[in-house]
Amino acid sequence: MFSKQLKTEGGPGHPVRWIAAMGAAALVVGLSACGSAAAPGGDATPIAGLGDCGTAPVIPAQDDPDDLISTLPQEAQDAFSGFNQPVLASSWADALPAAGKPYTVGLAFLPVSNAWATAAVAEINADFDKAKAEGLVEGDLLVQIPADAATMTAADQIAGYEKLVQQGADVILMYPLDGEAMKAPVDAAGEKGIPTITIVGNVPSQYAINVGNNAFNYVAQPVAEAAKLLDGKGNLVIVAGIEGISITTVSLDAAQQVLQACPDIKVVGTVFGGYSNSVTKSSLVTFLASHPEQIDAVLQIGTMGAGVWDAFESVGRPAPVVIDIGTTAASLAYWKQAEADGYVGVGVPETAKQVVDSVWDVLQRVMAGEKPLVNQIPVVPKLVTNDNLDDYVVPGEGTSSQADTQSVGPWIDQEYLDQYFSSPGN
Amino acid sequence: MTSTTQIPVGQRRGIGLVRSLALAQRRFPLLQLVLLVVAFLAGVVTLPGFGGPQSLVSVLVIASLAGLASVGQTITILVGGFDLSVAGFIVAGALLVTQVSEMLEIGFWGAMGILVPGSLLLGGLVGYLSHRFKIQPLILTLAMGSLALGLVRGPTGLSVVGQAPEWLTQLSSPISNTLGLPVPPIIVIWVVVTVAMALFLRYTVAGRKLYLTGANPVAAEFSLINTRLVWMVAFAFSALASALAGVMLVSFSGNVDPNLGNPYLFISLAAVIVGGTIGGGPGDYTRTAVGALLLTVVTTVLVGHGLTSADQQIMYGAVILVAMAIYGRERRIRDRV
Repeated sequence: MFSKQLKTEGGPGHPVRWIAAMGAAALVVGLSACGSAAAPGGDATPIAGLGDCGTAPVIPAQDDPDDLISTLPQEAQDAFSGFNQPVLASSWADALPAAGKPYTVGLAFLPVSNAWATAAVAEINADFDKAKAEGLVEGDLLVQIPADAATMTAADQIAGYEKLVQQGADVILMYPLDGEAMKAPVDAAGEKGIPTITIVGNVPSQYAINVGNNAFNYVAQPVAEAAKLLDGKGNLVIVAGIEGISITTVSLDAAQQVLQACPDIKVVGTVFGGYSNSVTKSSLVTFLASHPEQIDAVLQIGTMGAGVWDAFESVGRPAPVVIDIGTTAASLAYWKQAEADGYVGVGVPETAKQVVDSVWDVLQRVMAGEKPLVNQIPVVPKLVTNDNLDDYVVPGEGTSSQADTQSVGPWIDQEYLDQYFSSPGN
Repeated sequence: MTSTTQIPVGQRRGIGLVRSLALAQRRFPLLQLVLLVVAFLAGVVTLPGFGGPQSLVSVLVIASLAGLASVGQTITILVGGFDLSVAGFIVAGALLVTQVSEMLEIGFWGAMGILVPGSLLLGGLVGYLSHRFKIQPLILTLAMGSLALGLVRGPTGLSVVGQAPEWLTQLSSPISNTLGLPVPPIIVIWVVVTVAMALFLRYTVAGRKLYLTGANPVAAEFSLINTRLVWMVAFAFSALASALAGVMLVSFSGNVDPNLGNPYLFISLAAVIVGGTIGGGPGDYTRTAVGALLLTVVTTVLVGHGLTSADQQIMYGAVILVAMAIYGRERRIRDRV
C-alpha cells in the first residue's frame, strides 16, 4: 500500500525517471556524436598526385566514363581537375533545339530569400529584356519560383518545371534544388527539343548544360592560397551552407583533400550557416563558446563571409584569415577595414550579375546552334587578394550591406567559353 | 490474527528523503538544476577554456535568446494549448523593426507601434477562435504565424533582407555591457523577464486565473473565471512575446532572413518541456528558463565534442519524446487533492 501511494504521488519514481530520461537522451546524443564525430565531409581516400601544401592539386575528374575531357583543349581540361559530376556528351552537339529565334524562355528558380537570389532574378529579367529587344526571344519570361524556401521540395520544382514545358518554353533556365530529381523531367523535355541550362546546380543529363563551379577547384585554389598565408599551420573552421546537399558534400571533400597535404593545418570543426549571415553568426558563436582555442582561419563556402566576421567581432576574438568563397560587399568591407591592421586574406568573387550574364550567354549560344560538346562547363575561379581588393570593394557599402561586390569582368571569358562549342560564334 | 510488515528505520528514512526530493522537484526544477551543473562541469573538465568568462557570456547570451523565445510558449502550454506561430511572429517582428521600418520611414518606435497592437490582435484572435469554436490551437497558430509573416512581407515584396540598426545589435553582443558591468543587456533583460513572470504567475490574481483555466476549464468557469478571455490574453501575449523575441534575435544576428525563427519553435517547446511545465500545469516560466539554460549548455558542450546539426535535431526530438512520455503519466493539478 505504501509503495502504491508513493507511485500515485509521483514519489520515488519521479526523479529517478527524470534521471533515466536524461540518461537516455544523453545516450542517444552520445551515440549520434560518436557516429558523426568523423572529419567534416567524411573520410576521404587519399588521391594519388596530391601536391604540396599551398598548391592546388590537378587531379583527374571523377566521373568521365567516355574520356570526353581529354578531347577538350588543355585549358578546359585543367578546369575539370577533381570535377565530380558526370561528364556526358551533350545531345545538343549533334541535334539542334526544336525552336529557333525568337524563342520562349522559362525560368525555374529557388525562392528569392537572399540578396544574391534577388539580384540574380533581376539580372535574368534584364538580360531577357535585352534579348527581346534584339529579336532573340519573344513573349514574356515564363517564371516558376516557389514562395517559401522553408517548405520547398524537389517535387515542387519538378511540378514547376513541367508547367513551364506545358506553357510552351523552348528553353529553360534553372537553378536546381536537387539535380538528381530533375534528371527525368529534363530528359523528357530534351527529347522534345527543349534544352535546359542550369545555374550553379547540376543535373546529370545529356540534355542539360550545367554552367557552374567546379566545387573542387573553387575550394581547392583559395584553400591552397590560404595555406600559404598560414605558413602551412593553424586551426581551421569550415562554414558550409546546408548539410547533406551535394554541393556541400563535394566542397567539404575538396577542402579535406587539399588539406591532406597540410598536416599542420587542423580542421577543428564544421558549422552550417544555411547561406545566411544571421544563421552563420548564431551557429559560429555557439561553436566558439565551446572552442576557446585560437582559430587561425575560417573557410566559408557560400556568401556567408559577413556572418563569419560578425561572429568573431561580436565575441571579441581576433579575426582569423577568412577564406571567403563568394565574397559580398559586406565581407569585403570587413576585409578592407582589417587591411589597415595588416590583415591578408583571400576570396572568390561571384556576383549574381556575372553569373547570370555568363549563363545567359551559354543559353543564347545553345539556341543559336553553336553545339556544345559536353554537358558541363566548369568555371575557373578568379581570386580576390589584397592586391586587387580595391577593384571589388563597393564604395559606400559598409559591413551591414546587402549588396554584391563589384562585378569585375565576366564570370566566364568568351575565349574560354568558345572551347566548349564546336561552332562558336555561329 | 493479522501480521504487519515493519519497514526498517533506515529504509523509512530513505523513502522519506526521496519523497522530500520529489515534493521539492514538484515546486522547483531541482533535477534540471542538478543536470545543468553536471553538464556545465562536464564541459569545464572536457573542453579547455569552456568555463572562462568569454565562453560563459556567450552561452548566457544564446540561452537568453532561447529563453525569451520560450516566454509565450510557456503561457500557452500552461492554459492547455500550444503555439506553433512562434517562428512566424519572430520573423515578422524582426522584419518590422528592420526592413519595414526603413521602407515606411517610421523608425524603430514607429515599427513597435505596429508590432505591439498587431501581434496582440492576431494572437488574441487565435485565442478567441480556438476557445469559441473548440478548434485545436496547433492548427490555428500555425496558420496565424504564416499570416502574420505574410502581412509584414507585403511591403517588402518577396525578399526578406532586413538589417538591424547598430544600436540594436549592441543589446545582445557578448562583448557589450550594461551600466558599466560586463554583462550584455540581453542577459539583464532575460533576468528581469524571468523575475517578472515568476511574480506574475505566483502572486497575481491573473496568474492564478491562468493556472485554474489550464488545470480545469470547467471548474474555472464555475469559479466565475472568464476562460475565453484568459485564452485570448494568453495567446495574445504569446504572439507579442514571440514578436519581441524576434527583435532580440535580429539584434543578435544583425539581419533578418526567412529562417530566423525556425530553430526557435523547436527550442521553445523543448525548453518548456525540459524545464518541467506540462499542459494545464504544473509549471512556470522559471522552469522554462532553467530548461533553456540546460539545453544551451548541453548543446554547447556537445558541439564542442563534434555534435552536428543532425545530432542536435536527434537530441531535441529525443528529449521531447522522453519528457512527454514521463509527463504523460504525471498527475495534473486537477487530479490532485
